[in-house]
Amino acid sequence: MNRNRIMMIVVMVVVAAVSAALLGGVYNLTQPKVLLNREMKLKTTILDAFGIPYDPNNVEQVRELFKNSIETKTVEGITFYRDYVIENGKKVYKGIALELSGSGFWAPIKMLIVLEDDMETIRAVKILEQAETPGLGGRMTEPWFTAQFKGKKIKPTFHVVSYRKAKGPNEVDGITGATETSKAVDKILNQGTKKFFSIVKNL
Amino acid sequence: MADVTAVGQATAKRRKPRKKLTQTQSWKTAVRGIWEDNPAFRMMLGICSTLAVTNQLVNSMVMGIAVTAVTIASSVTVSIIRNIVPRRTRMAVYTLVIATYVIFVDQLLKAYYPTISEALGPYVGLIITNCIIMGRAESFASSNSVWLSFMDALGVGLGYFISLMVIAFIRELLGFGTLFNYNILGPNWEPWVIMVMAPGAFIILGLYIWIIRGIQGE
Repeated sequence: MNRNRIMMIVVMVVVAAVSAALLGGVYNLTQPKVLLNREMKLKTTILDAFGIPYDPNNVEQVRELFKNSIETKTVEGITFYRDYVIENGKKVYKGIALELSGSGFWAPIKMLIVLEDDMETIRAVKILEQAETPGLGGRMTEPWFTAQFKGKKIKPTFHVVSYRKAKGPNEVDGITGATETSKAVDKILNQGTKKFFSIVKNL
Repeated sequence: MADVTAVGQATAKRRKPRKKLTQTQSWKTAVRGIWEDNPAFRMMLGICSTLAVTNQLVNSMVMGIAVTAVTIASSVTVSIIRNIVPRRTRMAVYTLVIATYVIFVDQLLKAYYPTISEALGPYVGLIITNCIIMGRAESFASSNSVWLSFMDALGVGLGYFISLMVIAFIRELLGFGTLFNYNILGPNWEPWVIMVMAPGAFIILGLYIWIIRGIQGE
């Protein structure tokens, strides 16, 4: 092998090694924070969904509140959260939030739907994870979109309407310019809740 | 006799007036990236990301800053190692360097600015494919000094940033009625939805290039 070839390989290996070392270092430094962000995001979203107040800067308080007022359960692949208080030594459940997921336009969408006691009226919808087109499907996280769901009814069916204005208690407006994302949300909500109702007959 | 001449010449050199800032090569290199060689309307580089992020001003601002930072870091690094990288593997090496800095930025955003990271999503990772960075590394940083490469990267980055902000200003205002998510045009404004989507991006970019080139004259 002539000198040129050796130099090519040496340079590539050295640059790759330095790059890997640098990124490994950065990753080690930042990954704890990234994981904390993810944990806080999930817990604060669930506390928000149940209307439990918290101080967003107080990590310990959020963890305490979550541990003492939220019960997490997974039944046949569906995870749901129940908000409870202790009365007379027994758990009294106040609300239920289902974690629903499915494929979006680009990547899986994970969302939370909070139902009232009648298991029909929606109290809130929160987006946990999404990677849709920023500025289009990505707008599903914006308050104007998620606020629409409050007070709507998930039964008998529910529609995210794209081609006209939403009418009635079983419809909400989709996101203009993001029809596929709107259809995905529609599908996830309907399929997820149907599956949940068929699995969990009594709580 | 020779000594006197030498001293005379040396003194003459010292007495030359300092160049104005705007006449220095550094300044000219930087400013070139903003007007004569603006990536968006002259070099036609970074068009994909320009079309993608300019429907919102916040995203455009973060993208502009991120691309400028990565371009500066990459150009400086490429310039430092420009004499040891063999010609045949230079593009592969430049790609490694650029990818390293982009992943670095992406990880920093995820850790310290998670809401922005989520809003921009995949676009941060896609900075690796932004032609501006590879373009400047190959055509400037690989054959110029570290300082000039820094100034060039800064200028080109700023030019890109300014272009993004101008286009995003129009697209967000017409497409959402807002600027930086603050409602400007009021609740009765019927948004021009096309401005939010790809066709609107192409139209506004095309108009922008046409108008500015008209001003620049050919």
